Amino acid sequence: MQTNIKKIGLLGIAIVIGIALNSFTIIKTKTPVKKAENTVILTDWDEYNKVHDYVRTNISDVLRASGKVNMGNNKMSSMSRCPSGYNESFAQKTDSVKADRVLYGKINYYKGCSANYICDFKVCVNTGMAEVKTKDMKEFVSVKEWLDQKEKPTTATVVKG
Amino acid sequence: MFLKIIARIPFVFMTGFAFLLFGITFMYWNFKPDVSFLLTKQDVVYNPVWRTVFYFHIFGGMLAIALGPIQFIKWLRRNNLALHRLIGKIYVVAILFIAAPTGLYMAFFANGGIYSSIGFVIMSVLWFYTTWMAINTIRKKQVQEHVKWMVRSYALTFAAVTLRLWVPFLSLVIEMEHLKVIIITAWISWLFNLIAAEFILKLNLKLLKP
Repeated sequence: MQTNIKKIGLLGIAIVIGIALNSFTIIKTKTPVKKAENTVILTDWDEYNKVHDYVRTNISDVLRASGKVNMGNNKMSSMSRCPSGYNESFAQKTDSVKADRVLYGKINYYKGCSANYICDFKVCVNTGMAEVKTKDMKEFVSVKEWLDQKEKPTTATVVKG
Repeated sequence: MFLKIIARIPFVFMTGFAFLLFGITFMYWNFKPDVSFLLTKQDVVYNPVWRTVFYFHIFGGMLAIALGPIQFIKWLRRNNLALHRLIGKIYVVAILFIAAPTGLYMAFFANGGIYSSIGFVIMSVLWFYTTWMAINTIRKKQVQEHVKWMVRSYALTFAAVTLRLWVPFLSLVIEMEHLKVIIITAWISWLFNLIAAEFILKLNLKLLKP
């Protein structure tokens, strides 16, 4: 009898969870696309990853390799439930991130949950554009040019939030 | 003697990390909305319900993470059963009435969206269930079963520590994208602990014998 009550209780919890989860907005990872011959069909998620990888390779990795963006070294702050390191975020919604569009965003360096602003970026995968600027600059410049302007390693401003 | 010491090294590490997390979590008790993890929750941090639940969650979690290792000390169980029972009751109350229900609520607001939420929801339910089974079995005087469920329960409690080890490993060593790190760790932080717990139970360690 008691075992049955337990089972019914667990089933009840599962149903409540199911209903609650069902009420959440799910990011659509697949969009219905008409299949055509000789066409590579990408899901939105694939497209997002393609653009994100482009930003990472052409900006974040270059900044990291240059060593001109010194973020300090506090290992204790990395023992956190927030990921550390470079993070690229787009100003546009995830499903608007496409390889044929000019996209904007910013790069932060995280030490645990604290975001350190590095720069804004402007990219277009199809045209091979990858430009950056900081808030004090009027126009976007190439990553190389931006790095050349940095004479010595500096610590970026800590931005809370 | 030497083997005995070697066998206790993992326990010492586990306890060390548990108390380290206990200490780290104190930073939230200034009740400021811009401390560590709360920085990433600016969309809900000013929601009084979420904020209250958060503080209850860390309060219950802190009790559970710190008290758990004490319960595995064989000497204490044999020489001061009353204290073992008292600490056990606090541990159980901390999880069943505070940390697990609040964890379940917070799971719905998890960073990383639905995929993280599902991971944390399952974890919260399992955390409640394993702890409840642990108390249920000891009430029936099934000591060996009680030990097993307690090991599983603490494995889930310890997910708070392993989460904070997996996250920097994946983000700094593997250099994985942050969103992926958040989603993956919402699962592996407790799944691997449960697997490790089953492995430990299979080893049938003397340390765990009543």
